[in-house]
Amino acid sequence: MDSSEAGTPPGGTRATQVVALFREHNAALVGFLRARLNSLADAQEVAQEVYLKLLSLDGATVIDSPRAFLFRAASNLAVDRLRMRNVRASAPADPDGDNWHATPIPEQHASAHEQWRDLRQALDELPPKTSRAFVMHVIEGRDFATIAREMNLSERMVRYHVGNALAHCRERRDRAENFR
Amino acid sequence: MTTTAYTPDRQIEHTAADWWARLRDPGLPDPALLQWSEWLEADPRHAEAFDRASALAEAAGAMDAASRQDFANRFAPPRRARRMYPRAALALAASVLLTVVGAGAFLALRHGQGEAPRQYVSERAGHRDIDLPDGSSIELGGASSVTARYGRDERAVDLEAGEAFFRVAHAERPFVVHAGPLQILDLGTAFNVRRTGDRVTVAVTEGRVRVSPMATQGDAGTIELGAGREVSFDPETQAMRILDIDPASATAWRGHRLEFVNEPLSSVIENVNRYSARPIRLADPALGKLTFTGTVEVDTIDSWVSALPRVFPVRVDTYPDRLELARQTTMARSIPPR
Repeated sequence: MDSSEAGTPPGGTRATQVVALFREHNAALVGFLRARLNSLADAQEVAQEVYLKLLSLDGATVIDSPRAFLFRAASNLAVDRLRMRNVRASAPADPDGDNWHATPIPEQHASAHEQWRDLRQALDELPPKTSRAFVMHVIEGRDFATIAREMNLSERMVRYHVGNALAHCRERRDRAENFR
Repeated sequence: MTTTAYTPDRQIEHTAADWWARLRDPGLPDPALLQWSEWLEADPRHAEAFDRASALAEAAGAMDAASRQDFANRFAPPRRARRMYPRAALALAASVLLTVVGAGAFLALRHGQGEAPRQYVSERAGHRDIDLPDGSSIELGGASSVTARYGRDERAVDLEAGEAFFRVAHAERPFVVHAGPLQILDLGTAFNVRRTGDRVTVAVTEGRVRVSPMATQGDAGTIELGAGREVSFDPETQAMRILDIDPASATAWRGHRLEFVNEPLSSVIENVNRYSARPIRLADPALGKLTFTGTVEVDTIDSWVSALPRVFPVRVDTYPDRLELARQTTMARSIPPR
């Protein structure tokens, strides 16, 4: 199943095996981290951390499925990164705080409004639950469990709505040039 | 229509978005991650589609605070905002309880008693008058359907589709209309209900009704409505909008005129289609968001359609079996977002 070893010269060291494994699945790894962190830049950084971690493994570590190990390592480092992010976010003046009534400068607001018009239109075309799940998860950054509780749905359904909304917005964007 | 550098494959784009959402789940099991890498590595188009989905999500997640608030207000308003009159909801709950208690224990379970349900359906462009056994009457608009379920505790009528004008004979058993997301309890009345999918408009011409959303239990906002008032339930926002109306205009359809106030074009067309010999279709669903206020004479629907390009950025394409409204391409960018 894991063909990662195929590219490794026979008798290659553990380090070369790790490099080969990492290279072969790099796109899947970065993609996975990108989704977890919702940031390509962070994903690339964390992928490097994964790489270093793999290199530092000693020969005694038993790895049954190298690929699963790769993703598990990435998953753990992603959790650390998210935790770090939360610490940083809550340190300065509370960003999620009570700025509901903060009035943005009108001009700025207008251009931002314009910028997101297509996304708004795309979401308008969706059933309310679908757009709600998408906005709560992707835009407001709330996790599936919280949304599931608030919407009285299973987490699986929330995930389903988010995926559908994302697909729909993508499709609309193909027709309507740019969001940005 | 738009020239893009690639031809997106719907299926791949959809799977990519689905994967994005699955990967967001911190509890995703190992086998799913192996499936993920297999999927991604199976075809270079998979990675491209996934990048596009991720980029959209990333951009949306990095939105400025003001826009984020706009989106939250519009698509994910706090649930409590929907509870309009908690006291009235309590009153309704209390009255239901009294009815049940008054009727005796367990009677509520024996709902099947009374007469068998009867369904009444009208044809397209047709009207139908229904006299119910208790002396109440229903006037059905075109292509409409109701089912009367008279039990011993309640006179219930389901409005499945279309429009109906109810004239309710006073009796001890409550008279309740179920119209998709709304329930309308008669309080001595004549009223009109129009149902377009989950968009429901209730207009009172005489007396009063009590309107409650069926949605989430414990979250019900009940409204009492008197003559000359109308409430519309918008399924997109789950909001109830109350308007003062001329009671005659609410039932203008009985005189072959359909009247709309700030109604989404998609809903207007669905209603007009209940009368139109040739159905009208929207080539672009986004056009359905435009709002229409005005009167449509059901005898001259074709001329109404042909006049639409004067008020909306649309053009009319005529086919033997249908009329199609398409976006007027030169003005495509000027359509306001509702």
